[in-house]
Amino acid sequence: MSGRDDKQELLQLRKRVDYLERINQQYISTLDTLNSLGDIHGNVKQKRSPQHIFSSTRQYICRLAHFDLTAFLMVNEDNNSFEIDDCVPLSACDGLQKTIDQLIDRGEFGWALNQNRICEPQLRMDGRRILLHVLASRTRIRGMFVGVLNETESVPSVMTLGLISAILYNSAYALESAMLYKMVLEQNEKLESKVVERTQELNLAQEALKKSNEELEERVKLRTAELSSSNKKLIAEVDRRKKIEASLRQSEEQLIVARQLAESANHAKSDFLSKMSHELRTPLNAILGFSQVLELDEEFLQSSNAPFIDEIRTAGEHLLNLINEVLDLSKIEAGKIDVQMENINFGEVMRECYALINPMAKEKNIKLIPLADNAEKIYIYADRTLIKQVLINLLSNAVKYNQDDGTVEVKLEHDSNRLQISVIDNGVGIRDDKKQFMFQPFNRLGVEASNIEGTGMGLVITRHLVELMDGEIEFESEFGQGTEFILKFNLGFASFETAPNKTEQSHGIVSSINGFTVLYIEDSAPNIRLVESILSKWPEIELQSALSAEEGIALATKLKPDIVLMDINLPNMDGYEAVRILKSDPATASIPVIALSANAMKKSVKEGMDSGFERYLTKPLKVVEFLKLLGTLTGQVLLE
Amino acid sequence: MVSNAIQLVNNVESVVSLPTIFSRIDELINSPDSNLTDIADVISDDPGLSVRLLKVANSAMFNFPAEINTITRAITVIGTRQLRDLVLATKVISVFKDIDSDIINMEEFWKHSIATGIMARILASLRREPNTEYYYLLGLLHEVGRLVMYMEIPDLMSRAVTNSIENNVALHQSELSVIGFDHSMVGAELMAAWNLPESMRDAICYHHRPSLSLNYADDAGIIHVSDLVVNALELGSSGESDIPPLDEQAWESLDLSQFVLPDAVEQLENQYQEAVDIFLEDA
Repeated sequence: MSGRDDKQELLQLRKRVDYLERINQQYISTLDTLNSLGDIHGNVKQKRSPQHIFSSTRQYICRLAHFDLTAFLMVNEDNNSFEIDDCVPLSACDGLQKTIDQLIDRGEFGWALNQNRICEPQLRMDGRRILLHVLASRTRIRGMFVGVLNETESVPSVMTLGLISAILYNSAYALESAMLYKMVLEQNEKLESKVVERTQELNLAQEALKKSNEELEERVKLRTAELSSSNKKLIAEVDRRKKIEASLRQSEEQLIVARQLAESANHAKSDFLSKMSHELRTPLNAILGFSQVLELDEEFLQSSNAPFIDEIRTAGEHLLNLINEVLDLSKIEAGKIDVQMENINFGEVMRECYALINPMAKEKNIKLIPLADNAEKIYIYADRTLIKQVLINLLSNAVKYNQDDGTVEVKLEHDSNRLQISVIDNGVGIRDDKKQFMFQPFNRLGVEASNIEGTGMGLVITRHLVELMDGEIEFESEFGQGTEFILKFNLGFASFETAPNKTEQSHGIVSSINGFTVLYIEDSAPNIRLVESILSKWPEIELQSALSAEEGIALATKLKPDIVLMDINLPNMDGYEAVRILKSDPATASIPVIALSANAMKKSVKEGMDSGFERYLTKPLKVVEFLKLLGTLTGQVLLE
Repeated sequence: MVSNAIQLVNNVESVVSLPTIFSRIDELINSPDSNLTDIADVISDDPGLSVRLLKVANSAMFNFPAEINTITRAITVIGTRQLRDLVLATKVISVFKDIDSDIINMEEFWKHSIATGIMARILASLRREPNTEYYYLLGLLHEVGRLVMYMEIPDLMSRAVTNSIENNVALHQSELSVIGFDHSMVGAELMAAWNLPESMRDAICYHHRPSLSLNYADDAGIIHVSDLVVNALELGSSGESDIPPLDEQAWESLDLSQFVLPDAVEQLENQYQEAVDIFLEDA
């Protein structure tokens, strides 16, 4: 048994040794191959090219297996497509391209790109196996190795495939470094040529700079010349302006002189007129007086001259009227009219005017249409005497120039601060071509020849008076239809009676209150009347008044009123001083003093408070505020 | 009483041993004579493995453009060296299938391992590593030491888990303080016992602290990052209750842009369910 078995075993062992030796050789040659792979990189500058890498890689690979075709495809950086860069044999290139297109179509090419190892696609080229291996570094894919095995070649061993993969891996890195090397070289060249280019550019730029500097200098010279010439022109222009200014100043001075002259001439005229009227009135008095004496003389009345006396008297009266009005006008123009503005109940004024006009209207059988009821509740801010004169002038005109059985009407309209008064007649009216002469003196607009008495001065005076009271006057007229005169004045302040309903709605009067005494120191009677009318609603309140500061202080010491109301602009001693005196006297120091002043300037208000006033109320008086203050000071409520 | 990782592995070596088919394939691959056809013959002897390999080759993991229906073709698509690792990955789950799973949910454990493997494979291919299946295998095995610990020292492991939750520390740190060694050491010892390459022992040993590995820091780093991502996505579970801390130095040395991660996670999600179906089926 043993001899045969031993022989058998020996044979086995010999086989095993052979196998191991073969493996050993294979390992050694593999190691050699791996060891020498550095060649692929190329050690000298010329060899660091893809072509060198391709050919040396091919040499190594073809030692390991029998390839019919080996090719390297490289990525075209411009369009990311793969292009056959190196194909052996070259004649197979077209056929290879078709195979690669097919591989790409089937997706096997793309799949192999993502496997970092040798791949065998399903597709074969004319029945031969294809091997693909991506050429990639860690960061990027450079290309693809394609090998077509000879048909006689058996399936390569795992080890062979591993070795091929190792070689191609190495080639991929060699390619990467060759590419980088090439890029560095190119960059260097680019840089060098750029340096040359830049140097040339710099030279050119320097040249250009020099040239433009010269141009600039030239231009500066030119501009300097231009500037000096325009400077000269400017100086001449300044001179010219100065001359014009001087002549302007001169003519301004002349104008001032002329205006002064005109003004003094106007004054002289007014003076002259006023004196003349005065001088004229004296002989006229005599004429009128004596004509009246003659009218009483029976003997004279029997004579044939008797009718003339009536003529003389009428003409004399007319002349007297005329002189009076000229006198008025000259007074106005000389600024000699004293205007005292106050709040006036318009209904009251109208009643007085109607009473004066009524006899004249009856004579001509003209109907005066009564004023609407609300007139009694309206206050107008005006001078009591002058507003009456204005209204009488307009009303008398309306009656005089009316037809028989005509009507005269006064209408009122107002907003929150202006009052509009219309005086309407249905007389002859005014012709359009005469309208422009309406407010000119001695113009009687077509009635000169009529029997209507008049001086032609009325409207002129009326307009002046209206303007003196911050009013406006205008008119509308249609010839043959009648005339409407429109006056506009400031409405009286929000007085107690202006909107009594409103006031009573929001502030009802508290009927029984604790009585107290108020002392009002004021030099203007209308103001005293106003406060009087306000306080008259409460019989419990006693109002005393004084017309001067001195009188007021004396009265305050004597009466010890609960509250003192004080005007600021008082004659002799003003309100500030008066309050200081009251406050410094222990007998009156505790009495609250309220300032009532038309001066609403902040400075005045502050001065007032500093002087010792309890409160500083400004005119026009705000009645509700005023009453609330009185209530507060006496510790009760006057208004609900 | 078990005092160290080696002892623990010695105790289980008889129970959990490498499948024989793995060593046969390993031998073939290392032989200068053998080729793809020889390997295909070996695999065809194991019908279960054949079916599973075909499924893997056709799965989203490989994304091959055409259908693969022969083992030879599957090996071409997968690659021969890659095949060895994939075979082990396919078989290793069944090695542990007899473990009493009272303390640990085996399905969840393997899901975590599969996901980590897929992630590791994706990161490796982003780094253009030649053998991506190797990383899949590493991912699959990185926590296998814990399975051994659950088998052999379940009480100590329970204490480690409780300690980890109560003191809010990572489970592997808790293992170290409660037991004296952790699952990465046990895993490394198991690799050694199985005669797997040193690179695998190293990568598994240092997968929680890759920068400590002298020679295989990048491999360990890939597993480390993948483990982290999978824990964050909560795909399966290996018992870790929180995301383990990141070794920033390891991430730096991988030289991957953080912008690749969203894309990698998307790929993982595309491949995950299919891979779980294939690898856990009848395991």
